[in-house]
Amino acid sequence: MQEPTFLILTALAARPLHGYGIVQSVLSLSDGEVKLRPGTLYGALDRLAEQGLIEVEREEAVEGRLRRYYRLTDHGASVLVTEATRLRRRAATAETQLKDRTAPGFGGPVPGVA
Amino acid sequence: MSTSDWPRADPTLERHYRRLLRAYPRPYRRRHGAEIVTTLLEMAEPGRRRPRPAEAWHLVASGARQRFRLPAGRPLARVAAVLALLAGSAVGAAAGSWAAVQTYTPLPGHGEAAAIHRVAAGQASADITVHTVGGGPISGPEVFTITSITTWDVTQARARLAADGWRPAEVPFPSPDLDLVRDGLHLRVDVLVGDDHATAFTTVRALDNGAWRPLTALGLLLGALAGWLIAAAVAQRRSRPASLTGAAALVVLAAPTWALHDNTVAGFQHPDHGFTVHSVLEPSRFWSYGPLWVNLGLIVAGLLLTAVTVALAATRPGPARHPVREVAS
Repeated sequence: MQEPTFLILTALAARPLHGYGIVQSVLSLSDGEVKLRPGTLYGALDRLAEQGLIEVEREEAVEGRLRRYYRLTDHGASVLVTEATRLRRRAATAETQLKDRTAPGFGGPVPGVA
Repeated sequence: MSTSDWPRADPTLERHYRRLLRAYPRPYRRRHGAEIVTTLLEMAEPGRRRPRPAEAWHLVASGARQRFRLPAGRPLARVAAVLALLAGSAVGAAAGSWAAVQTYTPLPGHGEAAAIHRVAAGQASADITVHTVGGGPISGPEVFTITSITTWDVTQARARLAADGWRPAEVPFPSPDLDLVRDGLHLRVDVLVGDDHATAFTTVRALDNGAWRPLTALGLLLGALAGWLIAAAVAQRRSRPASLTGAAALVVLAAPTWALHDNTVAGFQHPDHGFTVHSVLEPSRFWSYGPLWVNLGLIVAGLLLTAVTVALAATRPGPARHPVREVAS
C-alpha cells in the first residue's frame, strides 16, 4: 500500500471526512510531509471506493458547492489494521537491526542507538 | 451546519477550474466535478484569480489519467482493453498505411502503361493487354501489361527505356531481365522467349517515398490509444449492452486484426519490399478458407459494432446519486 493511500485510510479511521477535510487531516498526520492534490485525492478515493475500502456516507450541497463525506468500511478498517501491523513489524525489525549494528572500525555500538 | 465555512471564491477562478476539469471523462465530471471544484476552492489561497500552472497541469494530467484508467478488480476489463488496443492499433496502422500510399506517385493509366510497354517491348503490337491488379493481401496496386512479340534484346530495351528517363534499380526480388525506376515508379520487365515468339510482361508499381513507416507507426499509435480509451470508457460506464457489443466487436475483429498486424510486422521488417498494411482488406486470399472479402467484411462489421458500443456507452445514464442534504443558508 502506498503512503498516500495509507494516510487517507488513516484519516478516515476516526470519522467521516469530505475532500478538503481529508487533505488537511493527511497533512497533519504526515507532519506536513504529504500534501494531497485534488487530482491525486479523487483518483485515490475512486479506487478505494471500487475496492470497497471506503464509501460515501452523505453529501452536502449549497449554492452549487458539494461536499461528499467518505467513511471507512469494515473491510477498509480491517485492511488498515493489517497494514498498520505490517508497518509496525517492519519498524521493529529496523530497530532491532540498528541495535545490532556496530560502528565500522571501532567495534562499538552506533552512537545514538540505544 | 451553516454556509459560513463554505468556500466563497472568485467566479473567474471557479470558471478556470471548471474548464480544466474538462480533461476528465464526462461521467466522472458529472459524478465528482462539483465536489472537486469545492475542494479546489477550499484549497485556494484568498485573492487567487487563476490556478497556478503546476495546479492546472496536475488537473489536466489527472483527467487524462482518469480517461485511461480501468476499474479496479475487473480482470476481464483489463483483457478487453488489451484486445481493444491490439485491434485499434491494427486498424490505425491500416489507416496510416493507406494515407502513406496516397502520397505515392500515381500509377499510370492504361494508355500510359501500354506506351511504356511498347518502349520496353520495342514493337508497336496491337494486342496489348493491360490490367490494374489490387496487390492484396501484401502490397499496393500494380499495373500489369502483357503482349506477344517476335524478338527482344535486353540491351536495346534498356537503351530505349533510358532514353525515356528510366534508370536502373536495385530491388529485393529482381527480374532476370530489367528493373528500372522513374519519378517514384518501379518498372519490371520480364520476357519469356519461345522457339518462334516471345511474351513480354511489364509491371509498374509505386515506390515508397519515405512516408509509409512514419505514417503507419503514427496510425498504429493513435489506433492503440483509441482502442484503449474506448475499452476504458465502456468499463468505467458499466453499461452491460455496451460491454456485450464491445465483446462482439473484439470477436469479429480478431481475424482482420491478426492479418493487419501480420502485414505491419512484415512491412517494418522489410521496408524495401513495398509491403502495405491496408492491402489485406482488398479482396484477396489472405486466409485459406472463406470468401475473398472476409477481412473487409469483418472489419466493416467490427467497426460498426464499435460505433454502436461507443454510442451505447455515451448514452449510459450516470450512476445513482447518494442522498444529498441541502445546507441551510
